[in-house]
Amino acid sequence: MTQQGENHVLRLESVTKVYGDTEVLKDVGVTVRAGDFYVISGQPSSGKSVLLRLILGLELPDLGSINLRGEVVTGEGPQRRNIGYVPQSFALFPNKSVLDNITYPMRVDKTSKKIIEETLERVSELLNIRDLLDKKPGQLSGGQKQRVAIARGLAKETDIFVLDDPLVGLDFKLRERLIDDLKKTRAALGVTFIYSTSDSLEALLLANRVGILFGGTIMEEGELDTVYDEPGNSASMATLGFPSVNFLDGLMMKSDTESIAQCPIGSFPMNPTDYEGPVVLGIRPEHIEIQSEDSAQGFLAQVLFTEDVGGSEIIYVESNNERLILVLGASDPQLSKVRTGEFAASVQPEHIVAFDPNTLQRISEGKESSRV
Amino acid sequence: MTTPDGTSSADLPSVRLGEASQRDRRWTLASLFSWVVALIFFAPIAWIAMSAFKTTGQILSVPPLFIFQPTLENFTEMFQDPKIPKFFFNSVLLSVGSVLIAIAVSFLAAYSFSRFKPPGTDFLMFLLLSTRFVPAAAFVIPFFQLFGILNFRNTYVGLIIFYVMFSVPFSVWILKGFIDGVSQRFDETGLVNGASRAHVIFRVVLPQVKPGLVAAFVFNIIFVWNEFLFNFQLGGTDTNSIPVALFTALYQGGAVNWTYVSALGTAYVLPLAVLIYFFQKYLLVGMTFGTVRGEV
Amino acid sequence: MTEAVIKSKQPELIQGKTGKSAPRKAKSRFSSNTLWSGGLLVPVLLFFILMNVVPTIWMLGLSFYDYTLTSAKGMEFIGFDNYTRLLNDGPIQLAISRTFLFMVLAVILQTLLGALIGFLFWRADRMPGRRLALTLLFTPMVLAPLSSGLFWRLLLDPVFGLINYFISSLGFEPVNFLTNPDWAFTTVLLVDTWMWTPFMALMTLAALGSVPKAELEAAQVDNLSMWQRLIHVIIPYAKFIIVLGILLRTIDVFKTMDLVYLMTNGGPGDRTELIAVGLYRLAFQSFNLGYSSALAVLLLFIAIALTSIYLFVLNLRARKELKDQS
Repeated sequence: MTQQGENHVLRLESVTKVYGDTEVLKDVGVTVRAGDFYVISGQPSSGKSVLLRLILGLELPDLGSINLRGEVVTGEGPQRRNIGYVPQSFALFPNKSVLDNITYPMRVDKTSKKIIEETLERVSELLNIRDLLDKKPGQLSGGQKQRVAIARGLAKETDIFVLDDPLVGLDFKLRERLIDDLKKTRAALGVTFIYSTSDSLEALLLANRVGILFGGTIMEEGELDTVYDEPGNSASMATLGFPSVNFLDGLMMKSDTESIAQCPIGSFPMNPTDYEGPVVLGIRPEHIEIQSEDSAQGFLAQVLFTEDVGGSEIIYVESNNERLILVLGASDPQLSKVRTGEFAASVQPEHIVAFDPNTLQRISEGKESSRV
Repeated sequence: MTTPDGTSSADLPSVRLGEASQRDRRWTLASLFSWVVALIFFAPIAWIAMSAFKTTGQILSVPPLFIFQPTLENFTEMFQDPKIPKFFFNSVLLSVGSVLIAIAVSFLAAYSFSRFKPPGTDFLMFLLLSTRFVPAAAFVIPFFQLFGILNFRNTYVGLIIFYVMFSVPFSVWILKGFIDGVSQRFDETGLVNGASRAHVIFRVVLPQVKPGLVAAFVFNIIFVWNEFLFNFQLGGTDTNSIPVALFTALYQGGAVNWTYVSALGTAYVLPLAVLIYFFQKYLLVGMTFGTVRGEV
Repeated sequence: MTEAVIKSKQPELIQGKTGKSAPRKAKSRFSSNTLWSGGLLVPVLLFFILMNVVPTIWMLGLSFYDYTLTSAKGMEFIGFDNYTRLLNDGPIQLAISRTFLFMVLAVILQTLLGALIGFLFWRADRMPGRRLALTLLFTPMVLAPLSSGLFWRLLLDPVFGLINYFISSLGFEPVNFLTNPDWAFTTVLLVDTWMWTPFMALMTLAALGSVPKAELEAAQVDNLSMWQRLIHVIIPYAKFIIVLGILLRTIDVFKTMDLVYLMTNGGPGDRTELIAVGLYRLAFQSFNLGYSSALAVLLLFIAIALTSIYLFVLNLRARKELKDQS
């Protein structure tokens, strides 16, 4: 894709925001390139909204700089930044019709009538709200309001849009559709989306680049695939995990030639590292395999309960007092073993990542197993 | 009003059905008693209103007359006195003029308090409210002297300025409450889209606090309409309002002119009762200086 | 589990990565917000300074002078003499204690009656013509106290008043309500109750309206008696607004002047002289501006104290609501 270079449309450098005595954001760095679908992913109240507000200019940073389209805008107000905005609570003007709500950004901007009409046509088609244009927000359902709010955010002549967790609380079907629509819209307009969510699945489905916001700072930033496959810290791995990533307490031991990680479900050979001591081992649910027969490498797992999430089955098990999650396709033949309530499972070492429990940073990963 | 029964009796256990069907009848014992109470409280005012249609002899008759031939003479006589229309004019001018100014300046201040929370916001809000909690008599002397120095006594300008301040505390309190209820995301949506702060204040927030503006308007009008002490002390024959007119009736040539009092009193009460009827849902916020919100 | 791991790390991380709060950099645009926030306040502040701060300072100043309009002496600075005189002024102290007595009686009477009437109207939520009935009920409290006083003078007249007509038709002697020393205080108290019981009924109605419907329905399904519902469901929710109502009434009693001034002018003797009436008479009948200003300052402090209590209670509720939300 785009090369890592100077063609960013937005760059935040060591931005810090303090409310009272608390540093809500500290030393945050974000680089967004033109055409990105950039997802800021983080737990609820990790500071996502504050970060977006800094980008929009609704708040100003206490430290650091913000560079927008090649210009430093650190101290500029929102009026000077020309960014489209979908706020988290819909904030639809109750006294205006849906049509007037949607065209509001363009009317404030004094956009020409022709473009207003074209844009209105496009966004109302996209979000399937043609029939609602004459209504007042008070007459709409929650989902409809959300779609109108997104439409209003998108109805602006600009190249950067900020969407603050716009799909939160929507039902599954609608969300699925809108995820699709949002991706297509961004591609069709060739614009940049900066999007926040606390939902891993949304991040995985939407982003081409992600920034992992944790504890008030961006822990990691990069291409979605890279961050997903090679998480640099346990926060990244946890944030981009669906279903939730398994974390096990373990111990890293070192001999002359190799490192070994011990944990309640077994010992695993790791790529050599100087680190010795307690570690946290991360294993994605899809990497826990059910063994055909009892294997020397495996561990015994008791099924606690299962959950059908449409297309796949999430299985909650317990092994040596550790709770684990694994996931199977709904038609996986191995499901019959699950039904018996107990089965043997194993993990290939290369799927295990070891993190420092204090700094959260990645230490090492399991060795490529000889099996493959 | 929250009703204990609501409309959901259908989907609830049959235990409630008996009670619910009983309560569906509109003329319950409670509603009968409620009407009796309402009439008792209104009776004294009704008696005055009745007296307004009596001759002096009928008002002073012993025993009091309940059935009589009503006359409009008191009203025609009252309005023939050129001073009376002047009193009404003054009441309307002072209340409407001062309240409009008060609401305008209060809205701006309430927006600032609500959105920017400048240092000292809580303290200023506190001070504003406390000025309405001081006995009016405490401030009469300084105002009397101050208005003498400023040549404000018995002028519309002076009294309007006074009544603006009289109306500001309640207006700021009520409007801040309403503006607090408008999410800041609205302001931000405007600002992000390039709107000026003035646009946000007048085009985005103002239309959403109309009920607050109405409540502030109606109740400040009532308060100014009723204000007596300062109008009496700071005003004069050019600027006196109806309460002062009622008061002076007491000391006109020894005996009280009861036909005058009852006719003027009735004409004065009527607009108030009409306002209460039409703006009943703002009565709570009005009578608590904007500190308690809710509907009755 | 994931969350547990993450959460347990968060505080360490925050402390680990940065030290105490970072030094602040000047924010250039904030001047624009500061300008708006200040600018919008200017008109109200101007009015406030001219119409509140100046008169208050004036009043404070006067309170340190011996200044009586009717005496030829002119103004003389006497320091705190007016205040020390206040401490030893029997009639004033009597008026203050009378005001407290009036306050306690009026607030109790009006709260109980108002609660009863409010409850009645709450039960009769579907009564025919409810809005009109409420209008009739609420009208007494929106009348100028002055006009109420005037109306009641007619109604209470010993010769042709309606009330005495009823009393004598029941076979009792007519009462000279406003001039009989045994009756004047009670009469003023009852007229005040007529005016302000509707206010407490209004507050009761609002308080009952603040009880969540779901809770009431649950109580009904559980078949609680009306008494149990009152104790366990209604009062816990309703008490806040009722307390606010009681406080507002308490404050208002200190302000009661027009009504008494019109009906009895504090008399007969000093039987109905509440503190606000006393202050007015001191200022405008004895023209003792210095001394009356000292009393006004005292009342100002009482008002500020009462406002603090009122806002404290009001904030208690706001804080509780905030807590309930999170």
